[in-house]
Amino acid sequence: MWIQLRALKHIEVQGKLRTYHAGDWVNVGKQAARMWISQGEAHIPQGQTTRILDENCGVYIWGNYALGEKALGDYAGGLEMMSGEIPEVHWNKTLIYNPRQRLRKELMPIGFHLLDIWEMAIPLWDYKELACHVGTQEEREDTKSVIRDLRVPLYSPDLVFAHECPNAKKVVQQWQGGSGDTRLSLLRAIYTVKPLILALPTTWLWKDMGSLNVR
Amino acid sequence: MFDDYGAVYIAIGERAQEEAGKSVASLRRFNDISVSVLYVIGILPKSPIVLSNGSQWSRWAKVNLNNLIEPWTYAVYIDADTRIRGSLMNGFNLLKDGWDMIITPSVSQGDDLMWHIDQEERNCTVEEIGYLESLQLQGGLFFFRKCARVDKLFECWREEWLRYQDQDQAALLRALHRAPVKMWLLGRPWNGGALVEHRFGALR
Repeated sequence: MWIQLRALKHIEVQGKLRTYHAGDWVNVGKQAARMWISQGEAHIPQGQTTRILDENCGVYIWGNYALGEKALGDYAGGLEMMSGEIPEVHWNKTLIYNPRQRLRKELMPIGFHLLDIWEMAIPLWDYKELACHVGTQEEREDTKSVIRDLRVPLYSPDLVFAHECPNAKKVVQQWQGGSGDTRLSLLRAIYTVKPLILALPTTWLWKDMGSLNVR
Repeated sequence: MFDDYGAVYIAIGERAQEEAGKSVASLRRFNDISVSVLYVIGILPKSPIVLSNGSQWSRWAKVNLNNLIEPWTYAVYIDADTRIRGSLMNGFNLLKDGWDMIITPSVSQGDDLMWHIDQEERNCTVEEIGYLESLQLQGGLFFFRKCARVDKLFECWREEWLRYQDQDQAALLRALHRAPVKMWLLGRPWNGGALVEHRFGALR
């Protein structure tokens, strides 16, 4: 678990004791992390949280509204929300969120903040499961005809940060207008429109493989 | 051979040149493209700081690649410690379709985040891009095109690399934060997989 130190610490790394100073990011076990945080010797900075919630941000809950609202927790009171069958880029900064995916709430403000620089920010689905591994043969062929090569990672359709701009809107429209595996549909849309897109690591997602149903 | 695209290697030092030679041979088995191997320090842009070893010169060359690929419009940078096992032409086709840069995520994500980056530079990177969990990119093979956006990215990459003069990956993340480009990602087969074998550490 990554934490930022507020005090000097000596931590064993690969059998050797190393000294870390206040301000250093370190990766330690959860027990140590929680203890140091409770003692004020470390923290996980929240950064831009307050500022983000002052802007025109909102969450489009693509699925069960009650589940989505619950997943947002405390943020539900400060963010505008809507839901429906067909996501859209409704606010200046929109998060399209499917509540079948657990949400890492602490990353939400960061995602919105990234839209100051990028037109879209989306976590990758997986590093090993590529476009060539999903969908039907027909869907893969359709996708290959657009993106040329299927040996590429997919983006998650469950957590899509989108800035209100022509490119992001076109991506969402084309994505929703596509058929078949929604991950391949999103990939085709991104390739066709070519937005300024920031790929995020898969750790932005909580993956519960038992409840996944991407079609 | 075609004159608007090619492959570029950086091979400073005898060992790197030997590896690059083998990689070029493997590349040519499957690809009919021009190849440039940068092995002479003298052709590189003058560095504003004194570079003390081959490793620093190699990284200085990498962050200047956009100025070293003439007459090409499209280029692929390839690490010397690789072996190419098939056609890379799709990478160039992706550039011609309009992407600025094409690259593979690093295998070092999550707990291995920036493991090889000096602590001070890691802290700075997290502070300046505003978050810890960013996607790490593998700079050992990437395609790029000559255009204003990419030139700006490389300009920022040079500035960022000069701050710490060590590894180039964290510098690239900070540079992208300042100068975003249209980036398309490739999967593991393209760097460290079936299409491009990457013998990480062969030159260390």
